[in-house]
Amino acid sequence: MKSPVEQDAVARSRVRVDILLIAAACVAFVGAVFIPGLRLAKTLSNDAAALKFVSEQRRYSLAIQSAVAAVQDRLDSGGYVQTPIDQLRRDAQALTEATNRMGAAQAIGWFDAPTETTALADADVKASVTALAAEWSAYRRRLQPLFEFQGIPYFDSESAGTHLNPAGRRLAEATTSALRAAREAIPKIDADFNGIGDALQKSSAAAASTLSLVMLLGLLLAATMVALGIMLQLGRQRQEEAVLEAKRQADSIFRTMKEGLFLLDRDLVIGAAHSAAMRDLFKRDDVAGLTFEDLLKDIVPAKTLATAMKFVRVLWTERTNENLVKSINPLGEVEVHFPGESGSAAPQYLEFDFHRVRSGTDISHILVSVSDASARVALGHELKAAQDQSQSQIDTLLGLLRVDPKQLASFLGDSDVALQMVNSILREPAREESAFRKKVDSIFRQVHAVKGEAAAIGLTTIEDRAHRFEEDLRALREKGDLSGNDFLPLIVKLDDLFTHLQSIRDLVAKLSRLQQAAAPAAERGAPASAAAPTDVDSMLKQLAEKVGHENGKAARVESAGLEALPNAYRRLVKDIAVQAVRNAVMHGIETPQARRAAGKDPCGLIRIEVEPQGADGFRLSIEDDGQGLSTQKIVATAMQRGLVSADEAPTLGPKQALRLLFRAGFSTYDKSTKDAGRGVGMNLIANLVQEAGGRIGVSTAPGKFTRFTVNLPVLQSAGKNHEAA
Amino acid sequence: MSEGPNVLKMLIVDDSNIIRRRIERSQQIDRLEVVGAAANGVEAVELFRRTGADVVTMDLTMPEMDGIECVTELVRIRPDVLILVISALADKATAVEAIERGANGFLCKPFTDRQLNGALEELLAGR
Amino acid sequence: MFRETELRIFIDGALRVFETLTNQAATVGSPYLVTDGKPGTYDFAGVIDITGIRKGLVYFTAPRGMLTVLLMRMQETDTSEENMRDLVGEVANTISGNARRDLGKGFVISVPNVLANASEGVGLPHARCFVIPINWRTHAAKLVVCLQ
Repeated sequence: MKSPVEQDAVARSRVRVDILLIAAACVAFVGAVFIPGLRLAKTLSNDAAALKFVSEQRRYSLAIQSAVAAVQDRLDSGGYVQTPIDQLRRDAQALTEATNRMGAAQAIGWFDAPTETTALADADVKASVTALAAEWSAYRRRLQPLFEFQGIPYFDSESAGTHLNPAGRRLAEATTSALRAAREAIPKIDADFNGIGDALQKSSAAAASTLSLVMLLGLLLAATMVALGIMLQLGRQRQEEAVLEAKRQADSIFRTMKEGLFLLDRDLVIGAAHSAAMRDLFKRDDVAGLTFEDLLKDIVPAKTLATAMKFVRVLWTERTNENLVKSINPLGEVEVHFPGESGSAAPQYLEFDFHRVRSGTDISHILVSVSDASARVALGHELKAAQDQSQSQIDTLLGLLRVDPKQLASFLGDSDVALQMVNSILREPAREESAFRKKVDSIFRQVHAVKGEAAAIGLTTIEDRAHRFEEDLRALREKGDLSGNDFLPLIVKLDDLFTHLQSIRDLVAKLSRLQQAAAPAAERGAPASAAAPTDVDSMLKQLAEKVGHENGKAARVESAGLEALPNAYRRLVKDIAVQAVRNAVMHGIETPQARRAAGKDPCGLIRIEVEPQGADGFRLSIEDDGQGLSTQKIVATAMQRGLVSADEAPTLGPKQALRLLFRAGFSTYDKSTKDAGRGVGMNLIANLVQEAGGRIGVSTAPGKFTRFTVNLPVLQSAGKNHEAA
Repeated sequence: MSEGPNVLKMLIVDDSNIIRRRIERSQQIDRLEVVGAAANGVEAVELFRRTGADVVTMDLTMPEMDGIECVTELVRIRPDVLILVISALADKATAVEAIERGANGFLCKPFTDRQLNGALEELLAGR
Repeated sequence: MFRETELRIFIDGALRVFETLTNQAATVGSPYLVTDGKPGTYDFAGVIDITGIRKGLVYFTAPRGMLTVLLMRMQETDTSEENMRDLVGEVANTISGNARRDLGKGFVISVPNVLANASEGVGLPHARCFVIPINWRTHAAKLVVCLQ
């Protein structure tokens, strides 16, 4: 008795009970009033017909008596006797026929036409009828001689006049005897007639009183039916009120719900009441009155539509279990396309849910709810993609097996530091756009370094991730109006990088345990820590080879003095060297053909040298024997990028022109290949050096060499940004 | 708030005191008179019986008998009670369940004063 | 990335709470990761435990100053400690409850568990979580999402 729907159901069941009561009253009426009433009415009419018939027959007994008396009179007076005898015969004949008919009376069936003697078949009447027939039969025998008389009862003589002849005398005797018998028989016959009349009257009276009883009963039943009819009407009103109430409540729900809600009737037509959200979900105002098919046909493929229509029809099937039906809902998550929308828009998904609405036990409507599942579906797809990604762990493992263990250990440590650095940059509170913009640049440097190193040692899974991170950063550089919202992809990617690094660490740990278990005890414990600087050397050699290979060039690295570097500078020098070597191979060193043509060794040479400078710290120089830098090209590019004006350009000397290389924005970041444009690397190097408190310079000779020289101060003031977490 | 034959008694159910106070403060419907406020379902049922409230605003996430159960119980006690669910649970399944149990309207948190009064008006209009 | 979509759901919820309750928009600060399992809290934190299809917790933490002004913007004159606890829990509840619009009924949220002056921070189910600073007027709050 709670929800409107249930109230409605209660009202409906009450109405059903009322209808049953009325049906029962009808049956009672037919059984107790109509049939008996009909029977009684028949009895009454039969009785009346019989009474009339009987009273008509009564006169024959008198007529017979007077006819016999008339015969005697005529005999006395010598009159003509044949007339009264004929009369007597006719009357006797009539009475005989009447008694025969009365005696032969039978009860009749429902559909036989009643006759005037039908009522005489009644047991009470039958006795008198039988007695009457017997009396008359006895009396009739006495009259027989009179009936049989033929001829003339007299003979005439002149002397004696008219006298009875012998036949006349016999007739006179018979007549006298008949008159005598009549004195007894006629009152009996009359009494029998009276008996019959009385019985019929009694039967009539009984039928009449029963009929009035039946009429009373009918009146009562009719009153009951009227009362029930009124109750039924009230019940219907209550039910209508309940339905109205349910509708009102539904209307209010429809207005407040953010979901699409509507009702489908048996013809699958959408009801007038539906939630306001329907308009937004289906991008149309005319939802009410549409069929479900019309609603869907333009936005889902024909096949889906056909399945959906079949499904909705199944919903109306009572015997199908609701949960089963729900489990096969083909519209649980359906992709929709609205006509007139460009195909490039993100796919939209709608979720349809169906509930049967019952009135009592019958399904009266289907309540359909619709919501926009696009975000959820996208989420699901992404989750799946993320899971697929973790499948690539095997690839990572195989990649690891190709990496030199020492290089890997150093890389893992360095990249963890770099990522922590990125996180600390992010962690600095920011509100203003400028603060966010500054972060983009600092983060880029760190991620770029990780990417370079990962590429150098061949860890493509990290390189790819770092590359995608860089792409996000590039996009942010181009974007105006930066806010924390734009940084969300960054922390997600950062999280992913952390996770990935951790999984590599775990894999390495497992591998080393395997190795330890397999290796002979004697080989363990060899000193490995001192080798750190030479990791850089081998890594750079590998990088030069790899980038050269990718660019159709040949290059080798020679290094000297790297082992003299204090540990705290190792990372910085490595970051600088990675950028410089990449740039040298990509832009400095010519193709083998070009080098041969210029009389050079087809394989380019990159020299990296570290020289301690005592109190002045260290000097790092990186030199390639490539084509050198063109100051004209640098100035032209700087003008293009808006770093120098057309007026300013001609006034720049060669040194000033070269310094443009280190300016932010010299590169537009528009090349999103992994091996980025030269400008990126230069700017990065300059920033790293500056952060370490050092200086950087460049010198070049066209066709001969390009040399970068980095001066780093002695350690106490240097490197804090790099080693601090 | 004037006493009169048309005044409907309102009960506020929410586990947050400030939300209870805010609903009472912000509701501007003349016909409504706040007669009580409860912090959980058990309290709500008890207060509902005592005050004979006609209208109830109902939070869903509450300790000691959550809102859905409470809706069921209030409707059982008095089938014609008007219940406006005011909840942060914004998923469709929850809304449908509340309405199945007999709630008459749904307002999603967070809400403005205007949204609150709009929802209450609609609730009363549906009566 | 599904994590990004998910984070956006929570962030949108947080921004909606501020906008709706105070009619003054909040902005998202620079998001970052907690890598040491110690996210740090302001004076009050409303913690929602998440069970069901996702597991972990979501919490909202804010300093006394912000909560005081928030209450005032909501016309609440009683700025007692009790009401601050209440508000921080309600905000956390609203953010996570709203997330069910997109994450569905299977995203099960607890009633808010409020920590006051929790200098030791909230115990996190795992070391790395997302921290989204929320700036509103001159105040800063944090939304911490730590799922699975």
